[in-house]
Amino acid sequence: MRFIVMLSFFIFFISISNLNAAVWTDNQVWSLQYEEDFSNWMQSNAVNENIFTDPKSPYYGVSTDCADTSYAFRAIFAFEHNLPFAIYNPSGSRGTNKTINNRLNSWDKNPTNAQRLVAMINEIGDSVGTENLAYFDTFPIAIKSITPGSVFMYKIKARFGNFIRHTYNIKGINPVGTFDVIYSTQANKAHGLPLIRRKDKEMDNMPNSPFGFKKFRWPEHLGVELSQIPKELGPSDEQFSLAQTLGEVEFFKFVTKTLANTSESKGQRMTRLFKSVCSEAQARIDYVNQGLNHLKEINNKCMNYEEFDAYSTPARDQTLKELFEKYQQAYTEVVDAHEINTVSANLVEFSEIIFGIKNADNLDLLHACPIQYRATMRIDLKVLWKRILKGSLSSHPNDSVEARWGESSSNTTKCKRWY
Amino acid sequence: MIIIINIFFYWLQNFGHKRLNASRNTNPIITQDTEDLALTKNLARELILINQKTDCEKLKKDYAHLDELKKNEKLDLRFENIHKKIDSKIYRLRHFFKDGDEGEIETFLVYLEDKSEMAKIIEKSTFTKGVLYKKIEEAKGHVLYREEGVNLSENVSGTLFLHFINNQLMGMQGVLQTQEDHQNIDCRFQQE
Repeated sequence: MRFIVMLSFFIFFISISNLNAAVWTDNQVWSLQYEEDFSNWMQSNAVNENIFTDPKSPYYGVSTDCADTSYAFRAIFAFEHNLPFAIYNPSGSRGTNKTINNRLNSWDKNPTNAQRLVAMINEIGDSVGTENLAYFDTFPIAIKSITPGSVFMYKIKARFGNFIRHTYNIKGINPVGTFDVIYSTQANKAHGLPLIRRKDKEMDNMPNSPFGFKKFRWPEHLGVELSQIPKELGPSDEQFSLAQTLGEVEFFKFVTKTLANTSESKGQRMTRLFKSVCSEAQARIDYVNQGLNHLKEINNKCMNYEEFDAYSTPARDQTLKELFEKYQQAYTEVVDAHEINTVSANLVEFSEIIFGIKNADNLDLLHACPIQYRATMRIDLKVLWKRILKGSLSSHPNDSVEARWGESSSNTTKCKRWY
Repeated sequence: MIIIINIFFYWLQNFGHKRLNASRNTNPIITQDTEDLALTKNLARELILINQKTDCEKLKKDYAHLDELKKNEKLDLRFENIHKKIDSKIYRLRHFFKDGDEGEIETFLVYLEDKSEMAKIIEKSTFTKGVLYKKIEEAKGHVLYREEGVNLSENVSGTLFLHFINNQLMGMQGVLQTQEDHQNIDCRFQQE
């Protein structure tokens, strides 16, 4: 009898100890106030590039590529505020477990709530992509309802019928209506690198239902039609019709104008675009170097599809080219509007040199935006733009650093170009 | 008595998780009361909103049968989940596309369910099916569940995404492009 009683108590205590094996216990509900808090949290320093890579961060060990990052932010905020977190179960469900949510005990091998959260986020990351986020877990919003915490996702058709999808997390909206975004990529995930931040991003790639500006669904809104989502959250499919009617350039001008709380002069826009071109050009150094480092690791073997996808740069090179074109267009608009006096003399000269209006070298341009892609080679934006126009830059990750940057076109790789 | 208590705690631990049922607080967010731009107003009037139930039900008829669509339309499979019972174990096969930096990564996952239908990933493979994935796919067993997401008529203006569970249409999202019209669709249907 004593044995039975002891055994019973043993089982009782084991049961008790596992009762709290949910990822976390939610005792709050999502509300408009919490949405505002989420938006404020996204803008705060708590959400930063090192949130998953700093060993001191409670969320160290979260490993995300693209859409996973959005899920991670939402889950972390819910965790910190005892809110429910639930997403459509990506592997399906026959009855129970229609969602993956914080109440599941699937990660109870991890001793602390934070560790269970990290494990849950990583498992979600293995099972989802931007398509899940677009189809099941978010809803489209009106342009004026875009706030920090919203996401922008796009899908474009690339070469050879290949599709590219991507998700940006909107961390902030700048006074002129541009975006401060934070995100990750496959290559970033593979190397355990900090998240990527662009503080002054003009979106491109038009919304196309269901990809576009969106917000997370509350748990009770999973699977419901847009019309059933509370109006205060801004559900709307206007962006898709607007984009279709206005076209890409005018649509994004409209977005910027709607979100801006201060107007931007043509000269200010030109200055901003110069900085954006510079930061994107310098970011290419990291992209290319990631590929070159990986090439070393695999002893210069030809990259397979997955490696090629992670380390080649055709879409990113196209983005850089388009950014140069936007900058050039902004410069032309300033000239045409006779507002050249509103721009600093230095920037006017830089622009004239970059776009070949003035044939001169200017050390200040090199100092203003040095692109040092190898130890003994530093170029300015004029040289880079010239190489882009000539089509000399190589996006193939098996090419040498010289070929990647268009310095030399000899000895280019014979490895397969997968797309 | 103690045994009854134990049974109760065992039940609570395994089946007692309440369904998430959070309710909405209606405190409004402080929103800008500025007038909408005239452009939005004009264009909003022009929007053809067809996501009312009646329209969705009408549209549903044309896309309700995946088998027929597979025969007659060019479909692009975006994901597939299959739950299969083999020798009293239930496996899940998931085939979908992760986002690549410059393209997409075809991904194959195998999950194993526990008694409470929770599924854990036991194999991950990219671009080609993994050993276990193939083995389970080919093994004799009973398919308990099949979920598919397909894109229909991919074109420059967009795609119509169709979501099926056990061959029943559960949702339609995206763009329906006809010669006269470009309609945004968001229809969800209840499981019968």
